[in-house]
Amino acid sequence: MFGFGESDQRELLQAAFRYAFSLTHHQYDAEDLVQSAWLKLLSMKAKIPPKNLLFVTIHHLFFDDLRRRKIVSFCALDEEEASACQTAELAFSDDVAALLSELRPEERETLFLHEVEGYTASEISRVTGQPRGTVLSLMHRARERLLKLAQNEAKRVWHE
Amino acid sequence: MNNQHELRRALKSFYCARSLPKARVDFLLQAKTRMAQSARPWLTIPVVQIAALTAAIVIFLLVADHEEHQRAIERAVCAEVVMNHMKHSPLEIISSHYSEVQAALSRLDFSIMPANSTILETYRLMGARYCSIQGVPAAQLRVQDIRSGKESTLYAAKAVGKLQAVAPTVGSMDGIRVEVWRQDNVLFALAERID
Repeated sequence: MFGFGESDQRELLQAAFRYAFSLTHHQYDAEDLVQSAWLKLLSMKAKIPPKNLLFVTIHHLFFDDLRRRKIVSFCALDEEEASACQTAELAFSDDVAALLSELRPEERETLFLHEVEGYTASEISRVTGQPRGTVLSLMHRARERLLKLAQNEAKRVWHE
Repeated sequence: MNNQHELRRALKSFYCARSLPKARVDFLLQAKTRMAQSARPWLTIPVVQIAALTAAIVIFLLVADHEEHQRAIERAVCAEVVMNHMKHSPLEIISSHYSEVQAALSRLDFSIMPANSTILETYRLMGARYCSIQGVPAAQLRVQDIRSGKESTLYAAKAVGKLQAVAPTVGSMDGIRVEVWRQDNVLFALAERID
């Protein structure tokens, strides 16, 4: 990815930050995560990394850190108790932020990569290292849960 | 957020509103520059200085090699002159006149008579024979010091081939003094025993 202009590099960093934010759901943690991944790749290659490599590095750094801190719990895909899997810190008070905080990091990650970045299930699979079938299940489940949470929230507001 | 289209729009809107602060972006971009430089420290050395240093080394090596090559040929010429002088090979032409010797050595297309008047006044010609110096055909003249009677050997060869590199010089080897000089395109060498 030689020949990247500075504006391209800035956009790459912003995309990486948004991806990191989808994992951490926290502004400062996402900033630190992008910085760690960026510096790690630069120390290895000393040149601008491709977007996919940057995303993969962010993914590994995030989940490795979670495992080290034993914060992450590996929920079964059919588990309905979202609260038991919740790991991210609530950082925003608006509706979407609150709804997303109910999701597990891997669910937010999958949703982000598909809905915001436009990645296919196969492309998400290459970033996360999970089988394509697992990615499709995660994507479907996350979407359903988010819509359900939104409907519940709408009902609650309506009754109030 | 009651359908997938709205979900996508809401997610895009939410995440696109998030951004890495400019100060952090600037820091990371500068880190890239710093790391690139530290990974290739030789790039920080001015290219002009490297080129100048390289050119200086090459020129020095070429000059040194050329000078060494020239000295080696001069040593070889002196050694050959000394060896021929000590062999004292029999003369093919006996004459005290350069013109007669020149005519007899018809294969040589250059003048064998030194222009140096001191040589002509000091030494008397006794005769000559063909020889070669470093593969170049030459005249080997036997001359005699008029005052002391000591016999010396005078060589004349066209300054071609390896002899082109021989510069005027004076030296000694095995008790024989050798003086080399150039006269137009002819190389002369005088070998005489040191008393």
